[in-house]
Amino acid sequence: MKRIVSCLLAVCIMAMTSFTAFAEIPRVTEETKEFTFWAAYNPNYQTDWENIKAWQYFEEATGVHVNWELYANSGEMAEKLNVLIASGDLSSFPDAFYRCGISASQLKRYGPEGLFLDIYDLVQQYAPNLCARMDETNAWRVVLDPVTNAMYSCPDLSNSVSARMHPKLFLNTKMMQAVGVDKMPETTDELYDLLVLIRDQDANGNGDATDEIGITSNYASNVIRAFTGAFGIDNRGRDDLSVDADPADETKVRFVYTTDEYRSMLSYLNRLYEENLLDHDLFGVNTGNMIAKGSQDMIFGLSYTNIVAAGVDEADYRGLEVALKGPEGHQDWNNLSAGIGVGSFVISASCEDPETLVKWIDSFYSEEGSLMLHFGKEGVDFTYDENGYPVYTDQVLSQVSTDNPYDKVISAITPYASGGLPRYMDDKTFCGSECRGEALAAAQRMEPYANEECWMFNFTTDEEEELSALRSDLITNCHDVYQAKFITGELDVDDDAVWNGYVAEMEGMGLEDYLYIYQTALDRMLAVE
Amino acid sequence: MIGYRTLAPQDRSWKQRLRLELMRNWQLYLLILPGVIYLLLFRYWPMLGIQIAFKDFKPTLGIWGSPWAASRGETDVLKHFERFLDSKFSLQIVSNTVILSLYSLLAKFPCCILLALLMNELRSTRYKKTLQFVTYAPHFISTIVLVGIMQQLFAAPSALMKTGGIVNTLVTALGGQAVDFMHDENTFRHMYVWSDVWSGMGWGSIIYMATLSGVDPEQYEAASLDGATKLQRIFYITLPALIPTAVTLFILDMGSVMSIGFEKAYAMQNELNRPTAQVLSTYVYTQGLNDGNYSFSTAVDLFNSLINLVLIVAVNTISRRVSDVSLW
Repeated sequence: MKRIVSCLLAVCIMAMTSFTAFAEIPRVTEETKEFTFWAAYNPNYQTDWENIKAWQYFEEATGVHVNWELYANSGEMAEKLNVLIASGDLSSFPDAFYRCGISASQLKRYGPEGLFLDIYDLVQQYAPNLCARMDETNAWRVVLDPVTNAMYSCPDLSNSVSARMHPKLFLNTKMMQAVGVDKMPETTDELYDLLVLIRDQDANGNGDATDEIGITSNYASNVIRAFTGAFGIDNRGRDDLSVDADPADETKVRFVYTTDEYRSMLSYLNRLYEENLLDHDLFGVNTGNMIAKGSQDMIFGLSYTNIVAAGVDEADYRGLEVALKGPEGHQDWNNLSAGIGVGSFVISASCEDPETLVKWIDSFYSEEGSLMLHFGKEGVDFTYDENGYPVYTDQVLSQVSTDNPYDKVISAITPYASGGLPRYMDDKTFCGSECRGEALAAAQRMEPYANEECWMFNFTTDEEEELSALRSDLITNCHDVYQAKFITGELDVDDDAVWNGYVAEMEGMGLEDYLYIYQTALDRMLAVE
Repeated sequence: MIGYRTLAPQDRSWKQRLRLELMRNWQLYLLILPGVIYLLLFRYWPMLGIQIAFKDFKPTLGIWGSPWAASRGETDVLKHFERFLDSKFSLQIVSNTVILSLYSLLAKFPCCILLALLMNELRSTRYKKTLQFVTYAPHFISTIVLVGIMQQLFAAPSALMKTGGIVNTLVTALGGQAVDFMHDENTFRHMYVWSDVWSGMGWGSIIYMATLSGVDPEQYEAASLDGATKLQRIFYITLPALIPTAVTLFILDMGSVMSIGFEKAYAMQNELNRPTAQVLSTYVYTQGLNDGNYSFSTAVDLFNSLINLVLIVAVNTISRRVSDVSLW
């Protein structure tokens, strides 16, 4: 008798555990329905997309089977998408586009033309989780079309401070000790002195005093952004670096690239560059040579979202204690993004059953769904650590090696590698390398100094067209060239004649129209709140 | 109708002449028919698509259904052309394109001829063939690989390469100062053109070699009997044989002066050399195709083609007046 009862109990428990994993994710359709999706995969990590565990779990739970049509995210996808859209032939469109990198401007242009479906009503009716998340992250004003208030895509929502903060500045503590400094720099001057010491001495102990690199990254922009807060610019985050809020009147936009604060920053950067305190190849860096420098232990300062991407030992590095204070007393870290990505899930107008798809995509935005998307099944793929954060099981982590990096191993479970998925994530439901370890700690230390508000502008198609032409003149062909020349010293930023000439050139290129468009968009944004 | 064949040619109507022509040469016409169909279908019919340069192209409405270009509600068919010409950089971009193409043309052209002349003087056929192979092999290296090679060879001193690439290492070893070849706006044009010459010289000389092989060797013998030196033989026999081909090719190349390939300029472009490296094709790419502005990019390309047309007609006319060689 006892045996029968205990057997029955065991069976019940087993049934319950396999049941509870999916109990919270509601079944979306009675019989299995099939849909065809286009998706962009990362050719480095995601070589076996269809067999990713997350898809199997979701299919079991929701009853939706997806037929995937995959294209590499390194350009192949963009090309195929453009060709498909240009053909205008709806019958050859898939049911939906999953993480295809459809840009906001494409949504606004082709949505009203009838290529993409307006899912606003469906979302209001069938997607409670998605609505809740969008309320939480204040995403409606970014996702909805500014003219028609239509909703053409489901967003990628990030509520993780660490993932949204890019870059953080990491310094090599071992090298600091080697030159006799044990306190993290807290002002731009202290950083300068420290970099001088690093440059002059043999900080990495290999006998060569000249091979240490002050600060580097894989894009020049990452290095420059480490200093925007110390000089009081980009106070509305990094989604648009050319404008921020005017400190005198916060409802007005200010053009960053002609301000005196920006000039001071350029001057400081120029000083660093000319005295060989920054990577001398600043405008020729890329991910490849960043990793090469990291592996040869040459990097002192790394300005990036995490440490591990540079191929260095995480234990040697530490993020700043406090944000750098600049010469005017600004002490901000203005590198937060709004964390809202649009276009990650778009249903095409030719889809026959958008209702099911909306219900399906909603399951990704619940807590259980987010957990399952990023971590898989509890007990099998992940467990909880002492802080209550989910971590992958040892069985999964033991597969990580130099040939099999972390991102590739977990790509057997989750499709998140390269981001851009339609989902909601925070530190509790996501485990990318930027949300753990030193990257997380550094972000938490910078959080008090980070920009409180993030401006993410939502322009109408007409505004975008005008802006596109203005941007090409003002930014690509004028500002970017000047910025590079000011920093490398080819042009003297401290010379008033040169600076005034630059400002005059910018103003003559339609700066007024540029700002007018931004101001209109800002007024629209503020009116909604 | 019967009996028109017995009429004198000038008495036949055009219909009769046509019928006669078709009957006599129907095999020839049948032979060229596929070619003509191909031309009409793939070259002439698509030309009608150029109208999108004057419209606001919308993929769902197609080429014929898209509305005429309008700005702020009013029809303005020249909207996209205006947008290009209004840009403060349009002059710089157009001049970059023209300078780069002309420089490229004028550098490559004589080098090809020179190479052909030199190879023609070789006696050993095996050596000639090996040399030919070696010189036209670089033509097959893809543009991106070529730019990658250049970036390695001409790299400026950096953390990973203390004295820079091979070129800079040599320069500093000989006492000069290292130059950042790949990031300097003044060196961009030279880098672009001479790497083009290096990779295209051999391939371009093939057609001249072919022409030279048709020169009658008796002429050379006669000339050497008359006491002509090698140089004189080249000048009076070889070069004149090449001139018709050379001029034809030159005119054709002139026609493509404005269509600088996109790949190489884009791969070599960065913030520091943009003032000289921004050409029409890269500009159109970032402006037009990145944002899906097909109408705009068509307009700029049309503008481009117009300049090409003017150039080719001009060169052809000049060539016809000056020499007997011309395309038409």
